[in-house]
Amino acid sequence: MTIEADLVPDLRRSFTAALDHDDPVEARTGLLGAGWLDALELDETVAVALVFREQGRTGRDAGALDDVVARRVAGRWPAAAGDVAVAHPVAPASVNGTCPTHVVLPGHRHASRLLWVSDLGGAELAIVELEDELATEVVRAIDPDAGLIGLRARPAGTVTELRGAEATSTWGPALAAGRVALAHQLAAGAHALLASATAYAKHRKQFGSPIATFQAVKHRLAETLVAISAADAAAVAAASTGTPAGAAVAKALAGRAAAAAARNCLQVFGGIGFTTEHEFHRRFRRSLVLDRLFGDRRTLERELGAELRSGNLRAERVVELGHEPRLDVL
Amino acid sequence: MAGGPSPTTTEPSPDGLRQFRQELGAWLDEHAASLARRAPGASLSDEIVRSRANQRRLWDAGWLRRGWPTSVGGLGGPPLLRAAVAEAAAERGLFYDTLFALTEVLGPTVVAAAPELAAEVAQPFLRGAEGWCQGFSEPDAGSDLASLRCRAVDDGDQWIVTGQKVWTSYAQFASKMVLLARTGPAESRHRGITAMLVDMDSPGVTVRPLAAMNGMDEFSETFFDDVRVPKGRLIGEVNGGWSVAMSMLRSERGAIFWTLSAWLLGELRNLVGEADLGPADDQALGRAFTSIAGLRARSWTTQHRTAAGTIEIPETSIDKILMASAEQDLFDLVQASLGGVLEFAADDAASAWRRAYLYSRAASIYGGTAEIQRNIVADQLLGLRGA
Repeated sequence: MTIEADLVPDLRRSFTAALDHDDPVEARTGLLGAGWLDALELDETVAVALVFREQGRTGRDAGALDDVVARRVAGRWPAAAGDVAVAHPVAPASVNGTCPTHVVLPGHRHASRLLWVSDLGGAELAIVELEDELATEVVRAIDPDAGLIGLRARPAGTVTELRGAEATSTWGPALAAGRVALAHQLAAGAHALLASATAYAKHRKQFGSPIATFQAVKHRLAETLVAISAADAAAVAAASTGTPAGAAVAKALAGRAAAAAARNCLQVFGGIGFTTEHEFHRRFRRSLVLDRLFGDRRTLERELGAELRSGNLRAERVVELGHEPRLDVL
Repeated sequence: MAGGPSPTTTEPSPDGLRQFRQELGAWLDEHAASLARRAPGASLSDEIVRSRANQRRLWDAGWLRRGWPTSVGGLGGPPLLRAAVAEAAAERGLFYDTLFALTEVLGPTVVAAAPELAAEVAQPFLRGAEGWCQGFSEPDAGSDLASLRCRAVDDGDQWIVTGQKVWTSYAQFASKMVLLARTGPAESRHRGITAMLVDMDSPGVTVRPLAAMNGMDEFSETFFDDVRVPKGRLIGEVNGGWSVAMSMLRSERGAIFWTLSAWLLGELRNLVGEADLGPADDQALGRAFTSIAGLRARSWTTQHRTAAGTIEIPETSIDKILMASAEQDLFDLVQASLGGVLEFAADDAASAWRRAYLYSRAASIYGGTAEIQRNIVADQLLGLRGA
């Protein structure tokens, strides 16, 4: 089943309106009311692109990532079916005593069920019927506005567990789907930042001319669009092919594009961009968090390199002409 | 035609394209023994002979005729089929890819802009029976192509061409050249240029090959001394050569980049097979892979958008930048990872790496420099022209 192309603009409008809340819990309620879960069930490729590009563009977050992930997990493990918050692994416990090992998205801060994912390999999955509401202590690190809830241990509650090969094979498709979703979000966020820097370069004057007339500035902005376009195409391709390597590629390229956008756009904004009265820092902070979720770009590159060396990607061709792009490019 | 595909003019479904690839792959595997393979240490002229022989073989079997209109000897069908054939050939090393690429650079535009001329003369070129080349750049008109000065003077039913072209790939192996000549006043820039097809054996044409740093002397300078070109050789409109040139640039960035991405993936795997790589190399390896994958994904969207008519020419500048970066990143990694082989070893495998490494240095220059592409992206895609 697919969402007909002529229905897409309406759906986009309703998702956009639904996400337009400062409070992630309200945004989540709105998104669910706008039919997000039905759309996800009907046509994951289109629904994910619409919602995650919008989350990227606006910096809002309705916890839609949890739905994408939980749906894939529930496809192989019915215990995960239904609305569930995901405890996303972000760092090993050994990294630092003040660093959470897991984060929960703020749209799910009142959740009563939690999908605990031990690590990105999915060695152990657990559904926890929570005894108490999640502690609402927000992670105050690079991006306090993200409203993430940090955890250092699996919360107490009634537990259903999945371990070993069953857990990893159940987790694999969820990881890939989450990476594609985050790739859309990162690419769209970088695209919005680029639009802002481009507009600024047209009216900011130095030496009597808009700085957009200087080739050094133009080339930074052009370079940013190139990086975003590669990431966006890779996300569109990964959504069409559904291979794990394709999803890793898309997420890695999106992380790279977000980093390029941050570096180049701050340079274009100059001093004003370093102040908190400018929006730059919010987008920059969010891109760092999103890059880290589900594997940062360097880790993904390392993993792909290791797979190449072991010969596992011998037949990986990323995408074939016979695949049909189902999404417009950004 | 025995064993070749049957004619079709219908748009293939994705399944149709997949099936086409499978049938093509099966045919190529079945006939592998009779298709000429690259000989170790082959010279450029050996390679051209070999590539054209394979090209004729695939044309005569019907595969290369797919996606070309019947007016030029093709079997019809969508151009995506041509990309599928070029990709399969590249994966098996059947063609000298940058030579074969000229069919894709020049063919579609000549067919579209000069259908009668194409019907008369294009088939031997598309079939690999003769070579064509692209006479664009001049000593003083490289990135600034619109300042070209090679002049064509109207002489009734002919033009008389005088001037010089340079960096023309395969001119010394070509029977015909698609020439951009100045037909308007010197200051007319892109509005006073006309495209025409010139016989390379015309009196007054002199070709002087240039030695290239990768040892494959593919390009030449070409001198025109009162060369007579019949008016029937016009491509497009008089003084409309700029749009012909732009259309060729777009073609160059379609099937060719797709093919190139397949070749780069193959070269990356060859590197993994040949170099002594360890975990410390994983990130660089993965980064090169993601760069190639990004090019490939972008090229895939470009080709589908070209087929749907929803892409503008400036957008393909993004593909060109991705291509140059992916190729140079990969061969930087090759050079770093081979532990001295590229710099010091004399065997055929080492020279092949050396040639490809050196050739990759040109990727950010030919077909429009990296700087020109970034100007186009900024001016036309980000709207900064005259900002």
